[in-house]
Amino acid sequence: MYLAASDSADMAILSTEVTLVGLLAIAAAVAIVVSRIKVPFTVALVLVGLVLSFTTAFDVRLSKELILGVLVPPLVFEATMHLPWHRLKTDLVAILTLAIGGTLVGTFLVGALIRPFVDVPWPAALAFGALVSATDPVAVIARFRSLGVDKRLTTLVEGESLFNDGAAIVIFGLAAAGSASFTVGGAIGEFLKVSVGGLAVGAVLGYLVSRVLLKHLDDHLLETAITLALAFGSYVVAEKLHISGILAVVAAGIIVGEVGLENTSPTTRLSLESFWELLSFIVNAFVFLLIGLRIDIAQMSHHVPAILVAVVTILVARAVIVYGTSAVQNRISATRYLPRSFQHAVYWGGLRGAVSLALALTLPFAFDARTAEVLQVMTFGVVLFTLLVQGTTIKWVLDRVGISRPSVAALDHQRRQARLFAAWAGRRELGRLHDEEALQPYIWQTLDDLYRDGLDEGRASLGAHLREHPELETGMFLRVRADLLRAERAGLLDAVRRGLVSAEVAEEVAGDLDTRLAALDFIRARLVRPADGEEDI
Amino acid sequence: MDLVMVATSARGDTRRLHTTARTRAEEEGSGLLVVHVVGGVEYDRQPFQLRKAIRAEMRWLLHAMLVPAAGVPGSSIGRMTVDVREGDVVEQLIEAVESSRPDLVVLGVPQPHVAGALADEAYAGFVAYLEDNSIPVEQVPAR
Repeated sequence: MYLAASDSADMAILSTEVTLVGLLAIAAAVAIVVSRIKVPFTVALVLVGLVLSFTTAFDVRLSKELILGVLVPPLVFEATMHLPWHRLKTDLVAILTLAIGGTLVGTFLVGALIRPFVDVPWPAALAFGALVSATDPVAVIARFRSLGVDKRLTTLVEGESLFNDGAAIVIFGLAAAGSASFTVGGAIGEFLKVSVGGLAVGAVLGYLVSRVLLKHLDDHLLETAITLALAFGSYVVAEKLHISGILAVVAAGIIVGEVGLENTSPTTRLSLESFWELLSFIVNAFVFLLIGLRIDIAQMSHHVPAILVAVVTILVARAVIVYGTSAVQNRISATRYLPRSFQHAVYWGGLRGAVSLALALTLPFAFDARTAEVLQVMTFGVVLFTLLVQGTTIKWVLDRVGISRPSVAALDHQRRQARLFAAWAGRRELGRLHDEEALQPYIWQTLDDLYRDGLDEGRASLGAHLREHPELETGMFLRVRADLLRAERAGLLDAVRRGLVSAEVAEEVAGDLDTRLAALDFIRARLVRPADGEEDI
Repeated sequence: MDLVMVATSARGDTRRLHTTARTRAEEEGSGLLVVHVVGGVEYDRQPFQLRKAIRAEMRWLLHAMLVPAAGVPGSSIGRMTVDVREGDVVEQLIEAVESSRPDLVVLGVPQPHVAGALADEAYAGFVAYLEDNSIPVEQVPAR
């Protein structure tokens, strides 16, 4: 009996392993193919998943716990760890307005809009409104990065998604549990408890781990293991306390990125980044393949009108949310003006993915079978539409609104500059070795001459390129100026740490530097075309 | 000639304008007044501190752009003044001319399909005004 149970468990482990290896191999094959054709990786994965769903090759049973508890935490942690707080902070009002305000408005708007066309009860309509409000930035961010669009736009889209995942899960939970005892005040209280509680737990855990462990260690293996434990641990602890696990991961990731990695050695940082990049690649590949595998095309064909209603509804609701909240944002925070081009990009970049799907899978536990089936199919339709249509046309939209990659000349300029930076770094290191008398003088002299000639050549080449493309000059000056202001800010913080300047005075001067950086953003938005190099150095 | 004034938008296509103005000032041994006007609805809605910072950063940017414009860094930098004004472009440029009385004004010529140095109507109005006052205007094509 014992043996039989053990055999069965072993078989299950082996079967899971075979499935994982198979999915990984397919993801790798898809990655190789898409590097040769112009289809976004995530879209290709979904399409391959859809094709595989017609076979019996993979019997994958998706659950909310698998998606939210296993697949989403590492993705969220990786994204937030790499999301600079200074960027997030400067647009926090816009991000929170879009994420929380947008999810609340979207829930009621979508719920109200589908009710006349799809026969479902109010709580179910609101639950659907909440679950389709969770945007998934993976496909869009990958596209943004490949196109080299403004980092502010990337932060907006990524930040909105990170916060609205948590908000959508909380609101969905409230709608799905909707009963006669439901009150608006109670719902708001519960929402605040779950979301603020989640953020607080994540922040505390992230701070403790950063201050107590990460700041005092310089062991790349240990630090990588700690961040992995924190990513899943913050989710588990928060869920155990019945507060938002996703928001806990968001807060923990931000704190680790800002505090925990402050004094990290280059080796550890490289190791951490490589690990999280690999994990994120694998998990993303699984998520999008599984989305394709889980979506039932045959089932969808029976509900085409409902799917059309869902798609039109989410497009209308998204327009109201993005353009409405942008108008409010532009009125209340004139310093962080959202240009119309950004609004269009945020609108069309609002793809739906894993979180929507995960929540849809729980619908049968909250509503009757027919309602759950209709809403699930509508969710599948929305996810597919946004991934396949919006995901493949986002570049066209970015081109149309003028947010495209830097021109060939701008990229060429950056390459020349990058070579100069690299050569300077090499020459500095050579000088250090010479100062420490670690080199024979004739070796130093020979190499220094080579570096000097290379740098002269590089400077001449950069100068000639700028004369040929004078339109790049303004952008270059602005980027350098921003870099210098950031260096001034870093120097200020260093002076506070060394006790040379009081924190009060430093705060005042730092505020002035922040205003100057905001001024540069304003000037850049007016003077520099994206094609002339919007990317920060 | 004591003073050459250049009115610039500081956009990416104004290097030729800057080079011309700087070269003329150096050839004549005159001072160079760089005027830039920042305004519009979006700017007017910014808080006072940010507007002040925008003007300060524009001054920094124009200094950085104008010094190497002629390819001879630093030769007569002491005589260069950057004046960043806020308000209506035409009104402010006219005010700058009236207050500093330059001997020559160098202006960028906007092209219909290129974001030019000045809006077409502002440019046209400004030139007309200057011609009435008999101050020569040198027009520099953007490209």
